[in-house]
Amino acid sequence: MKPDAAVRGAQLPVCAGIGLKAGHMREILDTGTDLGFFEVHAENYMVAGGPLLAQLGRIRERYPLSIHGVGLSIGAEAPLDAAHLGRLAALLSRFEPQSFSEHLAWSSHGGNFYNDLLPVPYDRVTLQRVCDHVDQVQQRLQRRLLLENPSTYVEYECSTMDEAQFLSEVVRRSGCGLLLDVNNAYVSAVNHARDAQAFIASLPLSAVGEIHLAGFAEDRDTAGSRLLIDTHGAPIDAAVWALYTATLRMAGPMPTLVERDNNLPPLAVLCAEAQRAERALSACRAPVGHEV
Amino acid sequence: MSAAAPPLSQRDFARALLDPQQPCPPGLRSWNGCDPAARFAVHRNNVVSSLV
Repeated sequence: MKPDAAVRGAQLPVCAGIGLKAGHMREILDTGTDLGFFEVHAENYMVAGGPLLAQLGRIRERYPLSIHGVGLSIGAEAPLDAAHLGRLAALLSRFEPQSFSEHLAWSSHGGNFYNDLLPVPYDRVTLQRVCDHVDQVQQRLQRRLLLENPSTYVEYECSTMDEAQFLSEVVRRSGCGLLLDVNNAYVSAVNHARDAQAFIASLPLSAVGEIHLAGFAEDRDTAGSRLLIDTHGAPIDAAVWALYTATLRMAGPMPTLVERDNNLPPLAVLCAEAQRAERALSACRAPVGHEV
Repeated sequence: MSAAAPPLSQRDFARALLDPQQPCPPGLRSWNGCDPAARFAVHRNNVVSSLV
């Protein structure tokens, strides 16, 4: 992989990376694992010092980095937490990552943090609030935010637009980019009996700065319909690989991250998934008739 | 889609998240018309398991 050959401005290289886990850090640093980039959860590194920050510094010297927030609560009714934003600003200033992303979700209310990515209604009031929050984040951090499409399990009766319309409007008004989580698109499409590919096709794909791939768990609702749960605890499903290939045909090659946060396998297993994504990226770049 | 139902506040959503004795908050729906409680339970499980 030659990340610098495909860098688009200050963005991530157009190749495959994995989520960086503390348990893999030593092996990566010792062996110089061949990957395009790493991604970390911002909140795991909001500490004053210690070995974790030092190790991330050594990773950053060798690899492009994406910092992915999970606690900003951009969809919250309440104002954003200025102290949290300040910690984010310090982290980004320290590591100067190629990408910063967050979720279209809320996770805090009334002083409580719920450690989950909770859904928002797709209505005008929420749209304005999310745009205001994205503006505030981009102003404070002085960089473009990539906003991630969510996995959802329920819908709000008060929604007046669909998810793609909502995200498109946030991008248009705020100038933010999209983190297109293909697994989330598939999970939500199954959970709401929609067409995942049509959903992706209706997004402003030129705004996508990164793709996420992950695994899900499967359950049934009380009517017996499939209910997929975004666990990041399993290999990437065949249906998500197929949707990823279709996405690349529509959007072109994109920086692609393999996410795994639970049931963590050996590093080699994640690298194999990243290599599969890399082959799909290569096929996407190849002339027609030369697909791998 | 058409505007109809009153919005479900995050206060009511959050209150129901933390109390499994409470019913699923009103204002949520599922595509097949089944009780959204089983789907809301995914969030309850995520929140409660993070507190253990």
